Amino acid sequence: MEKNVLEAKAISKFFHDPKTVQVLTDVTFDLKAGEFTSIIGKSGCGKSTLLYILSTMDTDYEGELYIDGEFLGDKTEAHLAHVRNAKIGFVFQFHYLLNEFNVLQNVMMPGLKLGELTAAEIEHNAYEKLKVLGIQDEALKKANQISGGQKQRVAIARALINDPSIIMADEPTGNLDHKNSEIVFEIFKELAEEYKQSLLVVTHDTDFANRTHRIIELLDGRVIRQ
Amino acid sequence: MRIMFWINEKVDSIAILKATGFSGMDVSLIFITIALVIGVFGGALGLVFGFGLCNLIDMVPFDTDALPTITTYPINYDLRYYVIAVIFSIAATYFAGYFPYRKASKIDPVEIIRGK
Repeated sequence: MEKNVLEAKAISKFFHDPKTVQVLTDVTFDLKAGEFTSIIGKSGCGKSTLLYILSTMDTDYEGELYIDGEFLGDKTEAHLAHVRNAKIGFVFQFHYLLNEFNVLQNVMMPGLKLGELTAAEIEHNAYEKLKVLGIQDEALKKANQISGGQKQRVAIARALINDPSIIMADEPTGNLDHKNSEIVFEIFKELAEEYKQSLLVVTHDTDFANRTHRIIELLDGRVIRQ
Repeated sequence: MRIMFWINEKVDSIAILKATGFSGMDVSLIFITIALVIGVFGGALGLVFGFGLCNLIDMVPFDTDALPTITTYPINYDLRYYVIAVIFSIAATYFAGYFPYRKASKIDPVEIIRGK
């Protein structure tokens, strides 16, 4: 049996402002290594909120979260930052590159933070990732000199740099046209099928979701299908 | 104040750094380092300019019957004043960076990333 890269047990979340509202109720599921999963649901159903809890950035929740078998409920902020650095690759709706740096430096950044390899090795890996994504020619351009579709591919390369256990993406195609959405989908599919990369993608694009291996559907903060 | 404004422009970058694995402490260190670099360079520049200006003033003729030995404007070149100036400039930038850097370390990446 494949091991679980992520386990969520009975995760509940409340917003307290201005009055207490429950946004997630007993969300329980697990993800196996190499699975390409999408989370869908109407806007406001709590899918982004869930992703931020799973990515360890939001720690204000009830329930249990495990990544690579490690229980994360009682960890310090610095330890969670390390988990994000080493085990999670994040892709946002809006590219989110650092404009002060070039493409290559953006991709290398989490690797330099992790500090397990030398800068030269990280640079080599960064070039390899850019090559897989077909944007190695843009490596030395500043992050704000490339197109939106290219930025998103750079963000994916950055998410891959530390060979994470899982890639999490929040509406990765939400800000892209059809052609670039298609490119991003094909990249994710290739990562999942050829490189056995686990992916968890929050999307409202049902066409995108239907082509992933597995769909988790949320309604009013509850899992109604998985 | 400048550093304060500048951190407001940088919230997106801080959110990215935090999401990709930099802790609040790492982000604070980056900003405090920048503040101190500005302090050290600004201080050094100030010293050079100050010293040059003092040299010029030192050449200004200054005749008075009360002090017969003095012919030019009197300047005190005591090293202590230079040390005080450097310490003051570094301390000022450190404190100018302190509040914004505390703010930077507390930025919640989730709020920034969802807020768009």
